[in-house]
Amino acid sequence: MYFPLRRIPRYDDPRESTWGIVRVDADKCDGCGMCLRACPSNALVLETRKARMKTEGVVQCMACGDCTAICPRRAVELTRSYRFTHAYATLDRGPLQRPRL
Amino acid sequence: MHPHSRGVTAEEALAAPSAEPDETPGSSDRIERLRTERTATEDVILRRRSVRAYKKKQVPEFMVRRILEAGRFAPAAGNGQAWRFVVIRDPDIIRGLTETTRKVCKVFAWLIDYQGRRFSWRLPLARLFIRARANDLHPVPFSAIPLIAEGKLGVFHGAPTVILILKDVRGVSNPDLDCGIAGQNMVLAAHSMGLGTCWVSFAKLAFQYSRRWKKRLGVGHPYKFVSSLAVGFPVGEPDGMVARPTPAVDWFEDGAKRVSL
Repeated sequence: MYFPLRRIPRYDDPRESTWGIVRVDADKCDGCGMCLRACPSNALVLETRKARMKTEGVVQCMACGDCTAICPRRAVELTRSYRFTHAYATLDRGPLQRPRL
Repeated sequence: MHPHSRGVTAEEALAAPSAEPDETPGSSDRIERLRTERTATEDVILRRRSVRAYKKKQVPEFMVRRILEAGRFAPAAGNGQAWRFVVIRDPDIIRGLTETTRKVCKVFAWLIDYQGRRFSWRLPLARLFIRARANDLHPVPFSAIPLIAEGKLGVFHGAPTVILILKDVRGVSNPDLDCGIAGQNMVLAAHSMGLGTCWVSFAKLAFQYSRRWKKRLGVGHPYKFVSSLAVGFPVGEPDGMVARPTPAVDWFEDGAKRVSL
């Protein structure tokens, strides 16, 4: 159990909590919506038959990459992981990379 | 000689001197091949993704039993095996657990949601709760609570089979860890069979804040809910490799330390 002594960051302030980002290649996306079904964070929407990350409100993407794995057209790419500050600060977690040999 | 035996008769060895690669552990043939090829086990590990959309088709019972066998043979501190698995394939129970979890999330969501100008007065209270339950209310689960409450995030995601992982609190050393190891064994076994799984720890709320399911499912002392697994055939093909952060790893070797990514 962790009992933090440091300040609890605001989860909705981008200066204190940055969430994951995925980029959808609109040329490849055919709007099948599988990424929306895979997303645990409700962070994606379909708009004019293209998936995209939500823009309204705080989009709490947990950077799991499940949308990138399930996409049958390889149109989704994870470009940023999440990071919190103060009580939940993490050290630099290094660049995003796929499994290496 | 048995046809699948790796042994080679003297005749065969003479007939084909360059024969098969040496597959004994640590042989240079085997090590060289690993430089360019992953094992089937690594492939399952690296391709495993959490599955959040399942087909209705039930998992054949023998497959569930095989998954449980993978759990039964997990390593455990002092060979304590301080776990107990409960298989739930009764849709009413799965629905009921989901409903209780959702109800508890609703209460929590009301207590902790400070986002949006209307609720900012709840911030100090929310921070107090977060401090007291810092792991449970880490930003990620914190953001999931309102989604579950509103039905935007499923609990078991429509999986036809759920495996509860309970710990025996009297177990050796750290039964939670043993349960995690057994669970991952089961998850990897399931994915190797083409099934999908998802770790569902949120169901803990249905056991923590309600007596109903503890009673109905017989989860009492010495057993305690640790986590659960949703198991089923996935919709689409969710497994595949993804990008992840590459945290630094410290290496101590030859009297020096180096840091590698």
